[in-house]
Amino acid sequence: MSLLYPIALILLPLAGCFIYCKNKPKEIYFSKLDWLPKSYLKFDRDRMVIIAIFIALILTLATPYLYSSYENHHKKGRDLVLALDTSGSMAQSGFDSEDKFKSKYDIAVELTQSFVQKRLDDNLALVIFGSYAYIASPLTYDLSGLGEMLHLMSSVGIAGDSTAIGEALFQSIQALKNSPTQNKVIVLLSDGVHNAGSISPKDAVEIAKKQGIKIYTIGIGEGYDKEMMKLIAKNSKGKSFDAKNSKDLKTVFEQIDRLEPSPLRSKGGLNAEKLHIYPLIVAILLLGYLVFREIVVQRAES
Amino acid sequence: MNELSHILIRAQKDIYRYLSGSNLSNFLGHGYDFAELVEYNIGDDIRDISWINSAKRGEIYVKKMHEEKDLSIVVVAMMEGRMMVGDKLETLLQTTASIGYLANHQNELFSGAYTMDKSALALMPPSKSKEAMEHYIKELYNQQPLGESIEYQQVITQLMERLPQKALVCIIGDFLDDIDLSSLAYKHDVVALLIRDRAEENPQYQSNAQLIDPSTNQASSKILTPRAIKHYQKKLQEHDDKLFEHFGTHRIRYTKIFSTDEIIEKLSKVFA
Repeated sequence: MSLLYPIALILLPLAGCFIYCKNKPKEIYFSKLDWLPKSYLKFDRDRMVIIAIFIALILTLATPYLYSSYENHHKKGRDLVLALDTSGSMAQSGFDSEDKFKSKYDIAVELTQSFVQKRLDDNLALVIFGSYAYIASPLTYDLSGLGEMLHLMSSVGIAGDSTAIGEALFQSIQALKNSPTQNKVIVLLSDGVHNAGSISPKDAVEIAKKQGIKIYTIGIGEGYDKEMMKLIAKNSKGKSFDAKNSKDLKTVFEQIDRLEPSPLRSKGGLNAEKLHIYPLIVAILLLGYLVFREIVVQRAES
Repeated sequence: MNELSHILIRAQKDIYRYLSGSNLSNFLGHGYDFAELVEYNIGDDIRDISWINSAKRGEIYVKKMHEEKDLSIVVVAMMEGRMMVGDKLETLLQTTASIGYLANHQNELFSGAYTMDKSALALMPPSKSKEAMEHYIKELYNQQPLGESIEYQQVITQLMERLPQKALVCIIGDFLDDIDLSSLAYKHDVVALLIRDRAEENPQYQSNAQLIDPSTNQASSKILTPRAIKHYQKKLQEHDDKLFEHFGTHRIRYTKIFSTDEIIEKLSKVFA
Protein backbone atom coordinates (compact mmCIF):
# COMPACT_ATOMS: atom_id res chain seq x y z
CA MET A 1 0.00 0.00 0.00
CA SER A 2 1.27 3.46 -0.86
CA LEU A 3 0.16 6.99 -0.23
CA LEU A 4 -0.85 9.38 -2.97
CA TYR A 5 -0.19 12.50 -0.88
CA PRO A 6 2.27 11.43 1.80
CA ILE A 7 2.89 15.09 2.54
CA ALA A 8 -0.36 15.10 4.54
CA LEU A 9 1.45 12.98 7.15
CA ILE A 10 3.30 16.14 8.18
CA LEU A 11 0.16 16.95 10.18
CA LEU A 12 0.41 13.74 12.24
CA PRO A 13 2.61 15.11 15.05
CA LEU A 14 -0.15 17.64 15.72
CA ALA A 15 -2.08 14.74 17.29
CA GLY A 16 0.15 15.22 20.34
CA CYS A 17 -1.54 18.56 20.79
CA PHE A 18 -4.71 16.84 21.94
CA ILE A 19 -2.73 15.78 24.99
CA TYR A 20 -0.20 18.53 25.53
CA CYS A 21 -1.52 21.76 24.11
CA LYS A 22 -4.97 21.84 25.61
CA ASN A 23 -6.88 25.02 25.08
CA LYS A 24 -7.63 26.89 28.25
CA PRO A 25 -9.52 24.31 30.28
CA LYS A 26 -12.50 25.02 32.48
CA GLU A 27 -11.41 25.28 36.08
CA ILE A 28 -13.44 23.20 38.46
CA TYR A 29 -13.10 22.97 42.22
CA PHE A 30 -13.26 19.32 43.12
CA SER A 31 -13.74 18.39 46.77
CA LYS A 32 -12.03 15.04 47.09
CA LEU A 33 -9.26 14.63 44.58
CA ASP A 34 -7.85 11.79 46.70
CA TRP A 35 -10.81 9.68 45.70
CA LEU A 36 -10.10 10.01 42.01
CA PRO A 37 -7.91 7.23 40.69
CA LYS A 38 -4.46 8.18 39.54
CA SER A 39 -4.19 5.58 36.80
CA TYR A 40 -6.64 7.42 34.55
CA LEU A 41 -4.25 10.32 34.27
CA LYS A 42 -4.45 11.83 30.80
CA PHE A 43 -5.71 8.60 29.26
CA ASP A 44 -9.15 9.85 28.83
CA ARG A 45 -11.05 7.62 26.44
CA ASP A 46 -12.74 10.50 24.68
CA ARG A 47 -9.48 12.18 23.99
CA MET A 48 -8.22 8.91 22.51
CA VAL A 49 -11.27 8.80 20.25
CA ILE A 50 -10.63 12.38 19.13
CA ILE A 51 -6.99 11.53 18.37
CA ALA A 52 -8.12 8.48 16.40
CA ILE A 53 -10.52 10.66 14.39
CA PHE A 54 -7.71 13.10 13.69
CA ILE A 55 -5.37 10.35 12.51
CA ALA A 56 -8.08 8.79 10.37
CA LEU A 57 -8.76 12.15 8.71
CA ILE A 58 -5.07 12.67 7.99
CA LEU A 59 -4.91 9.19 6.46
CA THR A 60 -7.90 10.14 4.33
CA LEU A 61 -6.03 13.23 3.17
CA ALA A 62 -2.90 11.19 2.43
CA THR A 63 -5.07 8.95 0.21
CA PRO A 64 -3.68 5.44 0.59
CA TYR A 65 -3.99 3.24 -2.49
CA LEU A 66 -3.26 -0.29 -3.64
CA TYR A 67 -1.95 -1.35 -7.06
CA SER A 68 -4.32 -3.70 -8.71
CA SER A 69 -2.68 -7.02 -9.44
CA TYR A 70 -2.87 -7.04 -13.20
CA GLU A 71 -0.54 -5.02 -15.31
CA ASN A 72 -0.55 -4.22 -18.99
CA HIS A 73 2.73 -5.91 -19.98
CA HIS A 74 1.21 -8.69 -21.99
CA LYS A 75 -1.95 -7.03 -23.06
CA LYS A 76 -2.96 -7.26 -26.63
CA GLY A 77 -5.38 -4.89 -28.20
CA ARG A 78 -5.90 -1.80 -30.20
CA ASP A 79 -6.07 1.88 -29.69
CA LEU A 80 -9.50 2.58 -30.99
CA VAL A 81 -11.35 5.83 -31.56
CA LEU A 82 -15.09 5.85 -31.88
CA ALA A 83 -16.23 8.81 -33.95
CA LEU A 84 -19.95 9.22 -33.34
CA ASP A 85 -22.18 11.34 -35.52
CA THR A 86 -24.55 13.49 -33.48
CA SER A 87 -25.89 15.60 -36.37
CA GLY A 88 -29.59 16.45 -36.50
CA SER A 89 -30.45 13.58 -38.84
CA MET A 90 -29.46 11.05 -36.14
CA ALA A 91 -32.67 11.94 -34.36
CA GLN A 92 -34.71 10.14 -37.04
CA SER A 93 -36.60 7.13 -35.78
CA GLY A 94 -37.89 4.01 -37.48
CA PHE A 95 -34.48 2.42 -37.71
CA ASP A 96 -35.30 -0.32 -35.23
CA SER A 97 -37.93 -2.81 -36.34
CA GLU A 98 -38.91 -3.64 -32.75
CA ASP A 99 -39.15 -0.14 -31.36
CA LYS A 100 -40.12 2.32 -34.07
CA PHE A 101 -39.77 5.29 -31.78
CA LYS A 102 -36.09 4.72 -31.04
CA SER A 103 -33.91 7.19 -32.90
CA LYS A 104 -30.83 6.20 -34.86
CA TYR A 105 -28.78 8.01 -32.32
CA ASP A 106 -30.26 6.04 -29.38
CA ILE A 107 -29.54 2.77 -31.11
CA ALA A 108 -26.03 3.84 -32.08
CA VAL A 109 -25.29 4.82 -28.48
CA GLU A 110 -26.81 1.65 -27.10
CA LEU A 111 -24.81 -0.60 -29.41
CA THR A 112 -21.65 1.47 -28.99
CA GLN A 113 -22.10 1.07 -25.28
CA SER A 114 -22.27 -2.71 -25.46
CA PHE A 115 -19.38 -2.70 -27.92
CA VAL A 116 -17.34 -0.59 -25.53
CA GLN A 117 -18.00 -2.91 -22.58
CA LYS A 118 -16.47 -5.83 -24.48
CA ARG A 119 -13.26 -4.01 -25.41
CA LEU A 120 -11.42 -5.21 -22.31
CA ASP A 121 -8.05 -5.25 -24.03
CA ASP A 122 -8.42 -2.04 -25.98
CA ASN A 123 -7.77 1.58 -25.27
CA LEU A 124 -10.71 3.60 -26.41
CA ALA A 125 -11.32 7.24 -27.17
CA LEU A 126 -14.55 8.98 -28.08
CA VAL A 127 -14.97 11.72 -30.68
CA ILE A 128 -18.31 13.41 -31.10
CA PHE A 129 -19.04 15.29 -34.27
CA GLY A 130 -21.73 17.33 -35.99
CA SER A 131 -20.95 20.72 -37.53
CA TYR A 132 -17.63 20.42 -35.78
CA ALA A 133 -15.88 17.67 -33.86
CA TYR A 134 -14.39 17.33 -30.42
CA ILE A 135 -12.71 14.68 -28.32
CA ALA A 136 -15.24 13.67 -25.69
CA SER A 137 -12.85 11.25 -24.06
CA PRO A 138 -9.12 10.70 -24.70
CA LEU A 139 -7.68 7.19 -24.98
CA THR A 140 -8.43 5.24 -21.85
CA TYR A 141 -8.83 1.72 -20.60
CA ASP A 142 -11.42 2.88 -18.08
CA LEU A 143 -14.35 1.42 -19.99
CA SER A 144 -17.00 2.24 -17.44
CA GLY A 145 -15.77 5.83 -17.44
CA LEU A 146 -15.95 5.95 -21.18
CA GLY A 147 -19.45 4.49 -21.07
CA GLU A 148 -20.46 7.35 -18.80
CA MET A 149 -18.85 9.88 -21.09
CA LEU A 150 -20.82 8.45 -23.95
CA HIS A 151 -23.99 9.49 -22.16
CA LEU A 152 -22.73 12.70 -20.67
CA MET A 153 -20.85 14.23 -23.56
CA SER A 154 -23.11 13.42 -26.41
CA SER A 155 -26.64 14.06 -27.49
CA VAL A 156 -28.22 14.83 -30.81
CA GLY A 157 -27.22 18.27 -32.03
CA ILE A 158 -24.65 18.81 -29.30
CA ALA A 159 -22.00 19.63 -31.89
CA GLY A 160 -24.34 21.22 -34.40
CA ASP A 161 -26.73 19.79 -36.95
CA SER A 162 -24.43 19.43 -39.97
CA THR A 163 -21.93 16.65 -40.61
CA ALA A 164 -18.22 17.43 -40.57
CA ILE A 165 -16.72 14.03 -41.39
CA GLY A 166 -13.30 15.52 -42.26
CA GLU A 167 -13.03 17.19 -38.92
CA ALA A 168 -14.25 14.08 -37.14
CA LEU A 169 -11.45 12.08 -38.72
CA PHE A 170 -8.94 14.77 -37.93
CA GLN A 171 -9.95 14.88 -34.26
CA SER A 172 -9.79 11.10 -34.14
CA ILE A 173 -6.25 11.18 -35.53
CA GLN A 174 -5.44 13.77 -32.85
CA ALA A 175 -6.77 11.42 -30.21
CA LEU A 176 -4.42 8.71 -31.49
CA LYS A 177 -1.44 11.03 -31.73
CA ASN A 178 0.35 9.72 -28.66
CA SER A 179 -0.57 6.09 -29.08
CA PRO A 180 2.47 3.82 -29.21
CA THR A 181 0.66 0.80 -30.65
CA GLN A 182 0.87 -0.50 -34.18
CA ASN A 183 -2.77 -1.23 -34.48
CA LYS A 184 -4.63 2.05 -34.50
CA VAL A 185 -8.23 2.09 -35.54
CA ILE A 186 -10.92 4.69 -36.07
CA VAL A 187 -14.55 3.58 -36.19
CA LEU A 188 -16.59 6.24 -37.90
CA LEU A 189 -20.35 6.12 -37.45
CA SER A 190 -22.32 8.46 -39.65
CA ASP A 191 -25.69 8.71 -41.37
CA GLY A 192 -25.05 11.76 -43.51
CA VAL A 193 -23.05 13.53 -46.15
CA HIS A 194 -19.94 15.56 -45.44
CA ASN A 195 -21.26 19.12 -45.52
CA ALA A 196 -19.39 21.12 -42.90
CA GLY A 197 -15.98 21.80 -41.43
CA SER A 198 -12.72 23.19 -42.75
CA ILE A 199 -10.99 19.86 -43.30
CA SER A 200 -11.96 17.62 -46.16
CA PRO A 201 -12.30 13.88 -45.57
CA LYS A 202 -9.72 13.30 -48.24
CA ASP A 203 -7.04 15.28 -46.43
CA ALA A 204 -7.88 13.61 -43.16
CA VAL A 205 -7.60 10.17 -44.74
CA GLU A 206 -4.18 11.09 -46.11
CA ILE A 207 -2.93 11.93 -42.65
CA ALA A 208 -4.43 8.73 -41.27
CA LYS A 209 -2.76 6.72 -43.95
CA LYS A 210 0.61 8.25 -43.15
CA GLN A 211 0.22 7.32 -39.55
CA GLY A 212 -0.94 3.81 -40.32
CA ILE A 213 -4.39 4.30 -38.91
CA LYS A 214 -7.13 2.07 -40.22
CA ILE A 215 -10.55 3.60 -40.60
CA TYR A 216 -13.68 1.48 -40.40
CA THR A 217 -16.74 3.29 -41.58
CA ILE A 218 -20.28 2.43 -40.63
CA GLY A 219 -23.02 4.03 -42.66
CA ILE A 220 -26.29 4.16 -40.83
CA GLY A 221 -29.62 4.13 -42.66
CA GLU A 222 -30.05 5.04 -46.29
CA GLY A 223 -29.16 8.69 -46.82
CA TYR A 224 -25.43 8.65 -46.24
CA ASP A 225 -22.64 9.17 -48.78
CA LYS A 226 -21.89 5.53 -49.55
CA GLU A 227 -19.14 6.23 -52.04
CA MET A 228 -17.22 8.51 -49.75
CA MET A 229 -17.50 6.09 -46.84
CA LYS A 230 -16.16 3.26 -48.99
CA LEU A 231 -13.34 5.43 -50.26
CA ILE A 232 -12.32 6.46 -46.76
CA ALA A 233 -12.21 2.81 -45.67
CA LYS A 234 -10.39 1.67 -48.78
CA ASN A 235 -7.71 4.38 -48.70
CA SER A 236 -6.92 3.65 -45.08
CA LYS A 237 -6.94 -0.13 -45.45
CA GLY A 238 -10.05 -0.37 -43.40
CA LYS A 239 -13.47 -1.67 -44.18
CA SER A 240 -16.80 -0.09 -44.90
CA PHE A 241 -20.03 -1.43 -43.51
CA ASP A 242 -23.64 -0.44 -43.89
CA ALA A 243 -26.25 -0.80 -41.31
CA LYS A 244 -29.74 -0.39 -42.63
CA ASN A 245 -31.24 -1.31 -39.28
CA SER A 246 -30.26 -2.01 -35.72
CA LYS A 247 -29.62 -5.68 -36.48
CA ASP A 248 -27.10 -4.77 -39.19
CA LEU A 249 -25.38 -2.37 -36.83
CA LYS A 250 -25.03 -5.12 -34.28
CA THR A 251 -23.46 -7.43 -36.85
CA VAL A 252 -21.05 -4.70 -37.88
CA PHE A 253 -19.87 -4.22 -34.34
CA GLU A 254 -19.44 -7.99 -34.02
CA GLN A 255 -17.25 -8.00 -37.12
CA ILE A 256 -15.07 -5.23 -35.76
CA ASP A 257 -14.87 -7.26 -32.56
CA ARG A 258 -13.23 -10.06 -34.44
CA LEU A 259 -10.46 -7.95 -35.97
CA GLU A 260 -7.05 -9.13 -34.95
CA PRO A 261 -5.64 -7.53 -31.82
CA SER A 262 -1.98 -6.59 -31.46
CA PRO A 263 0.36 -6.14 -28.50
CA LEU A 264 -0.62 -2.87 -26.96
CA ARG A 265 2.45 -1.58 -25.23
CA SER A 266 5.47 -2.85 -23.42
CA LYS A 267 4.95 -0.88 -20.24
CA GLY A 268 1.56 -0.32 -18.79
CA GLY A 269 0.19 2.14 -16.34
CA LEU A 270 -0.80 0.53 -13.10
CA ASN A 271 -4.32 0.54 -11.93
CA ALA A 272 -4.48 2.16 -8.54
CA GLU A 273 -7.32 1.47 -6.14
CA LYS A 274 -7.78 4.40 -3.78
CA LEU A 275 -8.57 3.40 -0.21
CA HIS A 276 -9.17 6.81 1.37
CA ILE A 277 -12.83 6.06 1.93
CA TYR A 278 -12.01 3.52 4.68
CA PRO A 279 -10.24 5.85 7.11
CA LEU A 280 -12.97 8.37 6.35
CA ILE A 281 -15.64 5.84 7.34
CA VAL A 282 -13.74 5.11 10.56
CA ALA A 283 -13.57 8.86 11.33
CA ILE A 284 -17.28 9.32 10.67
CA LEU A 285 -18.20 6.33 12.85
CA LEU A 286 -16.06 7.56 15.74
CA LEU A 287 -17.46 11.05 15.40
CA GLY A 288 -20.95 9.56 15.41
CA TYR A 289 -20.10 7.71 18.61
CA LEU A 290 -19.02 10.95 20.30
CA VAL A 291 -22.15 12.78 19.21
CA PHE A 292 -24.35 9.88 20.32
CA ARG A 293 -22.62 9.77 23.72
CA GLU A 294 -23.07 13.52 24.13
CA ILE A 295 -26.79 13.20 23.44
CA VAL A 296 -27.11 10.35 25.95
CA VAL A 297 -25.23 12.34 28.61
CA GLN A 298 -27.39 15.40 28.03
CA ARG A 299 -30.55 13.32 28.26
CA ALA A 300 -29.32 11.78 31.50
CA GLU A 301 -28.68 15.25 32.91
CA SER A 302 -32.04 16.70 31.98
CA MET B 1 -29.21 44.66 49.04
CA ASN B 2 -26.26 42.34 49.18
CA GLU B 3 -26.09 38.59 49.11
CA LEU B 4 -25.87 38.29 52.89
CA SER B 5 -29.09 40.23 53.40
CA HIS B 6 -30.80 37.92 50.94
CA ILE B 7 -29.60 34.90 52.87
CA LEU B 8 -30.78 36.31 56.20
CA ILE B 9 -34.17 37.32 54.88
CA ARG B 10 -34.69 33.96 53.26
CA ALA B 11 -33.78 32.18 56.48
CA GLN B 12 -36.13 34.35 58.56
CA LYS B 13 -38.98 33.87 56.14
CA ASP B 14 -38.51 30.11 56.21
CA ILE B 15 -38.43 30.03 59.99
CA TYR B 16 -41.70 31.88 60.37
CA ARG B 17 -43.31 29.56 57.90
CA TYR B 18 -42.17 26.36 59.48
CA LEU B 19 -41.96 27.02 63.18
CA SER B 20 -42.10 23.84 65.11
CA GLY B 21 -41.90 22.72 68.74
CA SER B 22 -39.03 22.70 71.18
CA ASN B 23 -36.01 20.47 71.10
CA LEU B 24 -36.08 17.08 72.65
CA SER B 25 -32.84 16.24 74.36
CA ASN B 26 -31.27 12.84 74.15
CA PHE B 27 -30.26 13.21 77.77
CA LEU B 28 -32.47 12.19 80.60
CA GLY B 29 -32.99 14.57 83.51
CA HIS B 30 -35.55 16.94 84.90
CA GLY B 31 -38.24 17.84 82.52
CA TYR B 32 -41.84 17.22 81.57
CA ASP B 33 -41.31 14.75 78.75
CA PHE B 34 -41.58 11.24 80.07
CA ALA B 35 -38.84 8.92 78.84
CA GLU B 36 -39.01 5.60 80.74
CA LEU B 37 -39.78 3.87 84.04
CA VAL B 38 -36.82 2.11 85.72
CA GLU B 39 -36.18 0.39 89.00
CA TYR B 40 -34.76 2.57 91.74
CA ASN B 41 -30.99 2.49 92.08
CA ILE B 42 -28.91 3.99 94.79
CA GLY B 43 -28.13 7.56 93.81
CA ASP B 44 -31.41 8.24 92.03
CA ASP B 45 -33.22 11.34 93.15
CA ILE B 46 -36.01 10.32 95.51
CA ARG B 47 -38.10 13.14 94.04
CA ASP B 48 -38.37 11.08 90.88
CA ILE B 49 -39.93 8.03 92.54
CA SER B 50 -43.27 7.23 90.97
CA TRP B 51 -45.28 6.28 93.98
CA ILE B 52 -48.24 5.03 92.04
CA ASN B 53 -46.17 2.68 89.91
CA SER B 54 -44.12 1.55 92.90
CA ALA B 55 -47.32 0.72 94.80
CA LYS B 56 -48.71 -1.21 91.84
CA ARG B 57 -45.59 -3.34 91.37
CA GLY B 58 -44.38 -3.68 94.95
CA GLU B 59 -40.93 -2.38 94.00
CA ILE B 60 -39.62 1.14 93.90
CA TYR B 61 -39.65 2.66 90.44
CA VAL B 62 -38.40 5.99 89.26
CA LYS B 63 -39.64 7.99 86.30
CA LYS B 64 -36.92 9.12 83.98
CA MET B 65 -37.78 12.29 82.13
CA HIS B 66 -36.16 13.98 79.15
CA GLU B 67 -33.98 16.73 80.40
CA GLU B 68 -35.39 20.12 79.73
CA LYS B 69 -33.48 23.21 80.53
CA ASP B 70 -32.36 26.43 79.01
CA LEU B 71 -30.63 24.74 76.13
CA SER B 72 -27.64 26.47 74.70
CA ILE B 73 -27.35 25.99 70.97
CA VAL B 74 -23.82 26.03 69.59
CA VAL B 75 -23.34 26.15 65.86
CA VAL B 76 -19.90 25.18 64.60
CA ALA B 77 -19.24 26.06 60.96
CA MET B 78 -16.42 24.09 59.39
CA MET B 79 -15.01 26.81 57.17
CA GLU B 80 -12.66 24.99 54.87
CA GLY B 81 -11.74 25.36 51.21
CA ARG B 82 -14.20 22.70 50.12
CA MET B 83 -17.05 24.98 51.17
CA MET B 84 -16.31 27.01 48.05
CA VAL B 85 -17.42 24.11 45.82
CA GLY B 86 -20.74 24.86 44.16
CA ASP B 87 -23.25 26.66 46.39
CA LYS B 88 -22.10 25.00 49.58
CA LEU B 89 -21.04 28.19 51.33
CA GLU B 90 -24.39 29.83 50.68
CA THR B 91 -26.19 26.73 51.92
CA LEU B 92 -24.03 26.71 55.02
CA LEU B 93 -24.79 30.37 55.70
CA GLN B 94 -28.48 29.88 55.24
CA THR B 95 -28.54 26.78 57.42
CA THR B 96 -26.66 28.62 60.14
CA ALA B 97 -28.97 31.61 59.89
CA SER B 98 -32.04 29.37 60.07
CA ILE B 99 -30.80 27.74 63.25
CA GLY B 100 -29.95 31.18 64.62
CA TYR B 101 -33.43 32.57 63.99
CA LEU B 102 -34.99 29.41 65.34
CA ALA B 103 -33.00 29.73 68.57
CA ASN B 104 -33.83 33.41 68.72
CA HIS B 105 -37.50 32.76 68.27
CA GLN B 106 -37.49 30.14 71.01
CA ASN B 107 -35.49 32.44 73.24
CA GLU B 108 -32.63 29.98 73.52
CA LEU B 109 -29.02 30.84 74.05
CA PHE B 110 -27.19 30.84 70.74
CA SER B 111 -23.49 30.63 70.30
CA GLY B 112 -21.64 30.55 67.00
CA ALA B 113 -18.23 29.12 66.26
CA TYR B 114 -16.21 28.75 63.12
CA THR B 115 -12.86 27.30 62.23
CA MET B 116 -9.96 29.51 61.25
CA ASP B 117 -6.73 28.41 59.66
CA LYS B 118 -6.08 24.74 60.28
CA SER B 119 -7.19 24.17 63.84
CA ALA B 120 -8.11 27.51 65.44
CA LEU B 121 -11.66 27.97 66.57
CA ALA B 122 -13.42 31.30 66.90
CA LEU B 123 -16.25 31.05 69.41
CA MET B 124 -18.62 33.85 70.22
CA PRO B 125 -20.12 33.99 73.69
CA PRO B 126 -23.65 32.63 74.11
CA SER B 127 -26.31 35.24 73.64
CA LYS B 128 -30.05 35.55 73.13
CA SER B 129 -29.68 38.65 71.06
CA LYS B 130 -30.65 38.57 67.43
CA GLU B 131 -27.99 41.12 66.57
CA ALA B 132 -25.23 38.95 68.03
CA MET B 133 -26.44 36.04 65.99
CA GLU B 134 -26.61 38.11 62.80
CA HIS B 135 -23.16 39.44 63.54
CA TYR B 136 -21.89 35.87 63.67
CA ILE B 137 -23.44 35.12 60.26
CA LYS B 138 -21.79 38.25 58.91
CA GLU B 139 -18.44 37.08 60.25
CA LEU B 140 -18.95 33.75 58.51
CA TYR B 141 -19.88 35.53 55.30
CA ASN B 142 -16.65 37.50 55.38
CA GLN B 143 -14.47 34.43 55.69
CA GLN B 144 -12.29 33.42 52.75
CA PRO B 145 -11.90 29.71 53.29
CA LEU B 146 -10.47 28.92 49.84
CA GLY B 147 -7.23 27.01 50.20
CA GLU B 148 -7.93 26.16 53.86
CA SER B 149 -8.08 22.71 55.37
CA ILE B 150 -9.06 21.68 58.88
CA GLU B 151 -7.60 19.42 61.52
CA TYR B 152 -10.92 18.05 62.68
CA GLN B 153 -9.78 16.36 65.86
CA GLN B 154 -8.01 19.45 67.12
CA VAL B 155 -11.11 21.50 66.50
CA ILE B 156 -13.22 18.97 68.39
CA THR B 157 -10.78 18.96 71.30
CA GLN B 158 -10.91 22.74 71.50
CA LEU B 159 -14.66 22.68 71.35
CA MET B 160 -14.77 20.21 74.24
CA GLU B 161 -12.53 22.45 76.30
CA ARG B 162 -14.50 25.59 75.61
CA LEU B 163 -17.96 24.17 76.14
CA PRO B 164 -18.17 23.27 79.82
CA GLN B 165 -21.96 23.26 79.85
CA LYS B 166 -23.96 20.67 78.03
CA ALA B 167 -25.25 22.12 74.80
CA LEU B 168 -26.91 21.28 71.54
CA VAL B 169 -23.92 21.32 69.22
CA CYS B 170 -24.71 21.62 65.51
CA ILE B 171 -21.69 20.88 63.43
CA ILE B 172 -22.09 22.19 59.90
CA GLY B 173 -19.63 20.92 57.35
CA ASP B 174 -19.38 18.61 54.39
CA PHE B 175 -18.01 15.68 56.46
CA LEU B 176 -15.96 14.43 53.56
CA ASP B 177 -13.00 13.74 55.83
CA ASP B 178 -12.96 11.19 58.62
CA ILE B 179 -14.12 12.65 61.89
CA ASP B 180 -14.59 11.18 65.34
CA LEU B 181 -17.41 12.86 67.25
CA SER B 182 -17.74 10.17 69.92
CA SER B 183 -16.25 12.18 72.81
CA LEU B 184 -18.25 15.26 71.87
CA ALA B 185 -21.44 13.24 71.64
CA TYR B 186 -20.74 11.72 75.04
CA LYS B 187 -20.95 15.12 76.67
CA HIS B 188 -23.22 17.09 74.33
CA ASP B 189 -26.22 16.66 72.15
CA VAL B 190 -24.66 16.60 68.70
CA VAL B 191 -26.36 17.24 65.38
CA ALA B 192 -24.34 16.82 62.21
CA LEU B 193 -25.51 18.83 59.22
CA LEU B 194 -23.86 17.63 56.04
CA ILE B 195 -23.71 20.41 53.47
CA ARG B 196 -23.14 18.84 50.09
CA ASP B 197 -23.29 19.90 46.49
CA ARG B 198 -25.14 17.78 43.95
CA ALA B 199 -22.15 17.91 41.62
CA GLU B 200 -20.07 16.60 44.48
CA GLU B 201 -22.17 13.45 44.76
CA ASN B 202 -22.77 13.06 41.04
CA PRO B 203 -19.87 14.66 39.22
CA GLN B 204 -20.40 15.08 35.50
CA TYR B 205 -17.89 13.98 32.93
CA GLN B 206 -15.67 16.87 31.81
CA SER B 207 -13.29 16.27 28.95
CA ASN B 208 -11.46 19.55 29.16
CA ALA B 209 -11.40 20.54 32.79
CA GLN B 210 -8.67 21.55 35.14
CA LEU B 211 -9.48 20.15 38.57
CA ILE B 212 -8.48 22.33 41.48
CA ASP B 213 -8.20 21.15 45.05
CA PRO B 214 -10.11 23.76 47.08
CA SER B 215 -8.23 22.74 50.25
CA THR B 216 -4.91 23.80 48.79
CA ASN B 217 -6.04 25.90 45.82
CA GLN B 218 -3.62 23.86 43.72
CA ALA B 219 -4.38 22.53 40.26
CA SER B 220 -4.34 18.77 39.83
CA SER B 221 -3.44 16.71 36.80
CA LYS B 222 -6.25 14.26 37.49
CA ILE B 223 -9.19 14.21 35.14
CA LEU B 224 -12.85 13.38 35.39
CA THR B 225 -13.47 10.43 33.13
CA PRO B 226 -16.59 8.28 33.43
CA ARG B 227 -14.50 5.51 34.99
CA ALA B 228 -12.86 7.89 37.43
CA ILE B 229 -16.30 9.19 38.43
CA LYS B 230 -17.49 5.67 39.16
CA HIS B 231 -14.43 5.04 41.28
CA TYR B 232 -15.00 8.31 43.15
CA GLN B 233 -18.67 7.61 43.80
CA LYS B 234 -17.82 4.20 45.21
CA LYS B 235 -15.33 5.80 47.60
CA LEU B 236 -17.87 8.44 48.60
CA GLN B 237 -20.52 5.82 49.28
CA GLU B 238 -18.12 3.83 51.44
CA HIS B 239 -17.16 6.95 53.34
CA ASP B 240 -20.77 7.99 53.95
CA ASP B 241 -21.75 4.49 55.08
CA LYS B 242 -18.94 4.52 57.60
CA LEU B 243 -19.83 8.03 58.73
CA PHE B 244 -23.51 7.26 59.24
CA GLU B 245 -22.62 4.13 61.16
CA HIS B 246 -20.47 6.26 63.43
CA PHE B 247 -23.34 8.73 63.89
CA GLY B 248 -25.72 5.89 64.65
CA THR B 249 -23.43 4.39 67.27
CA HIS B 250 -23.05 7.68 69.11
CA ARG B 251 -26.66 8.82 68.82
CA ILE B 252 -25.70 11.74 66.65
CA ARG B 253 -28.60 13.10 64.63
CA TYR B 254 -27.67 14.03 61.10
CA THR B 255 -29.05 15.12 57.78
CA LYS B 256 -27.66 15.93 54.37
CA ILE B 257 -28.52 19.33 52.98
CA PHE B 258 -28.13 20.21 49.33
CA SER B 259 -28.39 23.74 48.01
CA THR B 260 -31.63 22.83 46.26
CA ASP B 261 -33.23 21.51 49.44
CA GLU B 262 -35.78 23.27 51.63
CA ILE B 263 -33.36 23.83 54.45
CA ILE B 264 -35.91 24.46 57.17
CA GLU B 265 -37.74 21.27 56.30
CA LYS B 266 -34.53 19.29 56.71
CA LEU B 267 -33.81 21.07 59.99
CA SER B 268 -37.27 20.49 61.38
CA LYS B 269 -36.86 16.77 60.73
CA VAL B 270 -33.52 16.52 62.44
CA PHE B 271 -34.54 18.65 65.44
CA ALA B 272 -37.96 17.09 65.91
